Amino acid sequence: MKIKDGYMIREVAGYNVVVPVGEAALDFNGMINLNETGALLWKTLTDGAEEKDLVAALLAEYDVPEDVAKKDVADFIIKMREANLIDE
Amino acid sequence: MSNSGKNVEGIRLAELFPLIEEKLKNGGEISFKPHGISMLPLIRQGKDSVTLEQLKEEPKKYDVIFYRRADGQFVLHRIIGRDEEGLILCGDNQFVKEYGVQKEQIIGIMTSVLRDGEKLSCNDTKYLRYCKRLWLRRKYLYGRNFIRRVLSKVKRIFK
Repeated sequence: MKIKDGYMIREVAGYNVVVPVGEAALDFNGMINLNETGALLWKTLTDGAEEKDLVAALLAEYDVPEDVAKKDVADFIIKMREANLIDE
Repeated sequence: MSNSGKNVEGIRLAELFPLIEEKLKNGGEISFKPHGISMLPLIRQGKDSVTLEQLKEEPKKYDVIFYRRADGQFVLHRIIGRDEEGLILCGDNQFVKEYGVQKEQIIGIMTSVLRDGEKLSCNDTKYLRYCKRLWLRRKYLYGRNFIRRVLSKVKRIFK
């Protein structure tokens, strides 16, 4: 899995905003903001990763139980798929 | 319509401004739902979305432009004329004109409005017909306001 080409995150006013690059249209009506955890998962996914790699990245950074990390990763992937931001 | 407030995500437009400016300079488009009632009936707050692009030609009458006032406020209003001071702007729901707006203040120009799922282009003949009738709407709004002021003065006299 990896993040589709043509998107990046930009930090604006303390938020991590998903922005289409270059000439592509930016629609604030459906703008996706990532929190700190989301931004970490995004960065991990940028170069391609499996679900277990994402869980490992969370566990390395945060002191949370593995099942919580797994659920957060699962939720994140669902949202990214819904927004059509993932290449499988 | 002006925006010194927040968009739905709670981020102030002023904070997103570097992103907006960069996107437009790269030839991209921006869409958002404007805040306020000054561009009724064309743009309904919370319902309708506008698309902006970079200004490519000289700003002209009937263009709806997104610009920043000296006090920092972002505004989306229509050009209704020009004089020696600069551009003359007015919202579609207003009759008080704003004078002296400079081309350098313009961030982008509106190219379409999304209403009830339908995209209305600013090149559409229906839209241009609407623009040409706005002077009449301004007269009506001024007249209505005049009558209200007269009536409230009359009420005070007879209290």
